[in-house]
Amino acid sequence: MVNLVIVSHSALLGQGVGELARQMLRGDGCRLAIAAGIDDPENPIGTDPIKVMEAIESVADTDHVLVMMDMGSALLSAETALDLLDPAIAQKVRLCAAPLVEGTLAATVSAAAGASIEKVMMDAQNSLQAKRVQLGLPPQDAPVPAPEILSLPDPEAQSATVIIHNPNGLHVRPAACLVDALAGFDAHLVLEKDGKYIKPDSINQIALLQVRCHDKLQLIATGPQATEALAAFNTLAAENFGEQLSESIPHQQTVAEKISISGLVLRYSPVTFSLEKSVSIQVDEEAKRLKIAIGHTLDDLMHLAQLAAEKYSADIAAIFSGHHVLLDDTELLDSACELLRTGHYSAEEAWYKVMTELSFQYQQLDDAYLQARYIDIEDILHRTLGHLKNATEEAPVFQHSTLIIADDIYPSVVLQLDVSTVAGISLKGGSSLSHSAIIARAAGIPYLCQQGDTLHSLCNGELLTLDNVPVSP
Amino acid sequence: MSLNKNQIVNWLYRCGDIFTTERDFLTGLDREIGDADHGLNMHRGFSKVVEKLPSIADKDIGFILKNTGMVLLSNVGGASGPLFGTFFIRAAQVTQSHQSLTLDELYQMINEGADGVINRGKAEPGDKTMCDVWLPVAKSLKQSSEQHLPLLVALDSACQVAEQAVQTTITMQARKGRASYLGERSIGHQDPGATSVLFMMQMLAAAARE
Repeated sequence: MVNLVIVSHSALLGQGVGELARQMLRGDGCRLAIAAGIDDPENPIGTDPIKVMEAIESVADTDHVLVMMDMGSALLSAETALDLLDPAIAQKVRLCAAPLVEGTLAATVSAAAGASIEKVMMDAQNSLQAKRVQLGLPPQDAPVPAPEILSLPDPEAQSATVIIHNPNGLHVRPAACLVDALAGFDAHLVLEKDGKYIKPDSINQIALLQVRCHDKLQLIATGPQATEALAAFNTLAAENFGEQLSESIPHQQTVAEKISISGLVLRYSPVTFSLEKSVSIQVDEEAKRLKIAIGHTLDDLMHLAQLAAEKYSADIAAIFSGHHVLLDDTELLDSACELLRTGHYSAEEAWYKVMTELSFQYQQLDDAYLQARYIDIEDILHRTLGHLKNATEEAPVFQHSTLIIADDIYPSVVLQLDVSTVAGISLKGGSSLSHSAIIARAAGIPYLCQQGDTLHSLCNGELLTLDNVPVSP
Repeated sequence: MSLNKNQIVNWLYRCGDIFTTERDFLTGLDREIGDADHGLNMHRGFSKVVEKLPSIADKDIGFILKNTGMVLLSNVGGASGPLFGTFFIRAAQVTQSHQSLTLDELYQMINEGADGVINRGKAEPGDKTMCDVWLPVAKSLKQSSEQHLPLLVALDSACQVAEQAVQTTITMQARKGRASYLGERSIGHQDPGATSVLFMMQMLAAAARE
């Protein structure tokens, strides 16, 4: 459990922040103590290290105490308090760099939900995100490291630096290889690029680090098996993270020939699952449902990878193994469970929120290749929601040569299409860099994206001919 | 010649006096580049120190300095609280159970305290902070000690060095604390914290003469 201490120059501000934070508290999962202002009636503005120390002591009967501070001397006072505290207490304390108001609220919610100190700190430090989004600013450079792990200079830390040669950087498949290769070492690992730090145990964190070709990537390792982990990292990098570089999919598809295709129009959209809130929500029950649904989805992904290997190639299969790694990320489940613990969300809603946020983060990246990964997230989300609703849908099957018209299409749907009855796919949105497009190419299905509203007027069953459809060799 | 315990106590009383008489001057300096409370803060802090002195004046130098540091921590209010508080607490660590200090021991004391301030505030030389006075002062005392100069002479030259150092802060751009928000506009103003250090050194020299 994590308790919080609010340090402010102003007693009024400290109490006010405390008041706001307590509104977020359900139950007694997190206790707050306030050290704000000084005992001088004429000049009450200031901070007092002794008060900070006493405030920490008053809530120290827990695993960790996180100190939220306003600025300037609040930081110096908190650092001084650490020096004054009994070392047994001081080692439980972390100082948080988050903005006081937003950070305290985020930390309170997270701490009350029973999150770990790392998670509470990360939530606090990401707390400006919502404000930025609301005001139309790009989200802060994600991800924010948990500084308590990452900023402490460790004289025993070893590191290895490699240059990335993969033309498309560390996209989902190489990232999945990296997560895989580094899992299981008894070592504390941190991955660094351009001063940004992440834990290399999450494919999403790696993707959001936006590692591109020619980037320098450093692995910092401590612990009993640090040397082994670094060796594995070096080996994997030498093998280009499991990618055959010559076989990498180019950014720009070269147009080899243009053909004309015709087929019967079928407007396709996946089933939409309602996210209506159930009347009464049992937190534990919802978490259990979500875990089961994720388990089923993971099974599906194994089968899809198998199917892809049989139908097409190991490369296409790797897309779905990549999905498997992506979904098998405890961080996603943890985030959803955290939302569940607030008692306001059903399993569907919590999962939808977590995955949509992740999809949004991908879409915000400025690498076109990584941007196109949002559809993978949504594919997985859709599949999991289906399992939650016990309503898994079959891929569409056609009698005649069909032209699929859709807003967008999931990679798993393209995989399952029967090539002999699909004349082509034409999408309102989509991306030529998406895995859906890659699978369509492997299947030899003509694929057009970004067609906009021109497809709007078409009716099901109409015979449609498309001229000048580029087909890659 | 060495500095005895009574002179240390006397020094702290004098600090109480100077931060009373210079309170408004220091606050004025802070008004230019900060939040206009440095004089008030130092005055409040050292008034409390002086209040406590009679009850601890018979203890050793380390004890007196530690107590001074703790009182400053709790009563200054601004960033000067942790900074000057840390100065005295660290200075106390090298003067435990001392009844008097030789010049070299005085250098050790100031050097240790200054080191504490630097660690606490993470200031670098040239950031326009009190460190820009503490460091030259410590260096001057070290040189004097190596040359076996008399204590009074050493303190006088340390004060001269401190005066010059304070003047130099006028030309600096602040890179720490509230003044750093002003960027280039902080140039042309004397740093209040650095000025307080000068006052403390002047009071130490005066106390040593008694």
